[in-house]
Amino acid sequence: MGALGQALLRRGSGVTYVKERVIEVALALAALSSVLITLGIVGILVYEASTFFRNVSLARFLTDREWTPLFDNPQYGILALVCGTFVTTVVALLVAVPVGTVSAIWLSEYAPARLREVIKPMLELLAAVPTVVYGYFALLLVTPLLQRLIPGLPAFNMLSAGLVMGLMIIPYISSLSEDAMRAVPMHMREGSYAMGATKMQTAFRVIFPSAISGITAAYVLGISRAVGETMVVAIAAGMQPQRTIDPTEPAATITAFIVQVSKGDLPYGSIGYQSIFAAGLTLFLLTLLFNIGGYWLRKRYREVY
Amino acid sequence: VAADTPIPGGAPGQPKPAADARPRPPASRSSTNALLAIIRRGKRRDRLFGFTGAFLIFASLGALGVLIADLIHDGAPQLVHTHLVKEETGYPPSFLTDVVGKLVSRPALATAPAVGGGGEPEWVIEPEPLRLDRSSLAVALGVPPAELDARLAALSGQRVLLQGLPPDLGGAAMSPDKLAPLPPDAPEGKPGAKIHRNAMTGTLARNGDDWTFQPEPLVLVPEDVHAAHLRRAEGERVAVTKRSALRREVGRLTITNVSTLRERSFLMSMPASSWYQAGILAAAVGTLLVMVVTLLTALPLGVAAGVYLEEYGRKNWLTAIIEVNIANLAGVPSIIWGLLGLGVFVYLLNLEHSILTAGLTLGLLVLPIVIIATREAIRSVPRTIRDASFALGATKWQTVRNHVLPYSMSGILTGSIVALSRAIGETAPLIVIGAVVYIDFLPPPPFERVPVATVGADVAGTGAGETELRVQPFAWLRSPFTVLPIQMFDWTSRPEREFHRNAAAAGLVLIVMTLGLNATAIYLRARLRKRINW
Repeated sequence: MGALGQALLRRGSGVTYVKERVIEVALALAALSSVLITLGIVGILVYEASTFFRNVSLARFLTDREWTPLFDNPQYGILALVCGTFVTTVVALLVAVPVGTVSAIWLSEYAPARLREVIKPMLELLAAVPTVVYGYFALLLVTPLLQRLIPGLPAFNMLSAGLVMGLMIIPYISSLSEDAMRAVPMHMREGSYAMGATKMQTAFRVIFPSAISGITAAYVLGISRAVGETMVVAIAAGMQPQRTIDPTEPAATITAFIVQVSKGDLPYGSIGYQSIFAAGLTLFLLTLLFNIGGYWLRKRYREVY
Repeated sequence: VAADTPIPGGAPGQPKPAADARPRPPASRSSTNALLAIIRRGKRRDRLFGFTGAFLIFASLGALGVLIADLIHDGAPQLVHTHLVKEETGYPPSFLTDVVGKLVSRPALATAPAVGGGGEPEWVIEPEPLRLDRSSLAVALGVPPAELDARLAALSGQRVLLQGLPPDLGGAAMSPDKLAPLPPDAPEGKPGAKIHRNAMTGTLARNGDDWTFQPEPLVLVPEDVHAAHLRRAEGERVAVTKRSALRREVGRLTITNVSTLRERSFLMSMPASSWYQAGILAAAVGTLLVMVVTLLTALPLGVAAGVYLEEYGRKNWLTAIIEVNIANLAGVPSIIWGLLGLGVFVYLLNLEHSILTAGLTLGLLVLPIVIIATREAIRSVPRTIRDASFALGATKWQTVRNHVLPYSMSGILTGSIVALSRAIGETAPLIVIGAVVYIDFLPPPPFERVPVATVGADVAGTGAGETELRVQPFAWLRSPFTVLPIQMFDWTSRPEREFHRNAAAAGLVLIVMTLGLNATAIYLRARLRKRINW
């Protein structure tokens, strides 16, 4: 009897054991899928870009003066696109960094707790608005307004695209910075107040330096968002690649170029098809750089307290 | 002042002497004043900075408010606006082939025995008035704009011949090419006389500042049109399709088709080449179906990955890599996901530019959001719950399924809602994988009644042929698609102001969906925080 019971028990636990193992393996595969996705992204970008670089040398890619891969006399100077990306990103950051930082300080140090609970999610809604709606906003509302201030401003320009993009990434900067500032222990604030410092002095000389790595991580995330942003620039900044750093001019970014080419019907394997992957790889490497930097900074700041 | 005053905020130097030496008023007072000034200045700056911060935040929120107000201002009229379509086909009447008006019948006149006869009534269409464009009227009449009203007033009340293409129904004012009075003895004024294919006779009327043209009723000469069809449409607003432009006659119209007109709203219309006929039906259905595939991809995969990382994964290099990797994936620009979809799903797996491709791409795009939300939700379930379950002899999976997952379900739900709202607004990746902007059909439904194709059947067009039920539960997955943001992008990129209003209406729908979803998530999160008391 005892032997039978034991056998039953072993048998039951054996089935259960197998079931548990199967489930664990299935869950592990799901977790591994994220690695597969990354490999897929890198693989497809590198594969298609490598066929592109078989036709176009890396030297030409980096030194050509213009980016006109679809013309009869094609030029492949990625810098023309990088210029557009750079200018729109800088304009966006000039808006988002000061506004986002000051907002974060205000939310973390000045705002009453109940107001903060209301304002913070509302500010985060700014990031929830679809980017195509921001593109509409930039082209049809902000640009006409700017044209009144700056006569002769073209209908497509990087300034308005950058400004609206700045508005869009404010919550990325303010939310993360605020989290970092609130993670600074209370006793540091109290120490500063005890020394007679005002809230502002405390914020700038104690809180801000203590939370600097978290805040930098927020900035880096903002940069990465601005670099990768597509619809606002595709709608409002124009589609013409230009080597200019004048924000009042139209210029295409890396992302806008990919959209422009994708809108037309490109045959698989053509040089235009490959060129969007080369542009995409450039963009991916740029953002990867920022993302890794941001992740590293966040990791470091977490270990401070 | 600054010579013996210590740095602002500190002031450690002064209090000490106060203990032993009381009579030092002058120095003390001046330094006290200086200190007070510094404190006051600090406070002033502090207050100023506080105002600046509050101002910047409210300015940003104000910008969002302006954006929403503009979308409502430009888009709301468009959303409630309706236009007319032919009932049978769902297509709007087209000015090249259609005459629009009310269909009435009257007893056949003895003077016109050729039409009908034998007691059959005579069918007449009473065309709708056309608004006329002032500037082209002046050109058509050859008078300076200042004298236009006087000239038209002289013509009003008489029969006139108007030539030109009427615009699409509900659209702009008509620009006539030619406008001439019609003397009673003119040959083209007589019933049955042939006139130009784009000409019609009628009278002018003034309507405020505008002039309108009221075409005369036309007797219909049906060709291949069933009398039953005409009887059904009697008294309704209809569009009739002209048989041949060459046979246009005064007072008579040969027709090949009669369609009843129905009002159709923006939400229920397909894209069209004219703004007032265009709608977002195809885009809204596309968005809905793509979201279904997105959720079916992201939810199981994301929750499973989150459960593994929190409950099963040991702390080793593999889980560390997966964690860094997920954080990185969350920061990959959305357009790169489009390139992944294009390279892998469209060309490698040959799924074409379909709803399936779009849903899978967006599903992978929001996967990191779902994983991160799942992990946070699971992490908030206290250790004690698991311990209690294990103590009762439950296995790991039983614990996860019966205890951990139910407790973290609302957190996962919140994360999924945020992921969904992100996916709804994505435009760039779907453009890259090849969404089509102009789609005037819906994906095939799972069950469809189709006519059986038999030789020679249904020649008469009675619609009485046999049908069979076709079951195609997954055909919609392979259908080409468009989504709301792409429709909005297309309308925004057009030069016409009217299309921008359509874009605003689409944007309004889009922003209501995304902000609504986000508000739901915020509400759920707040409720969750209040309710759960471990």
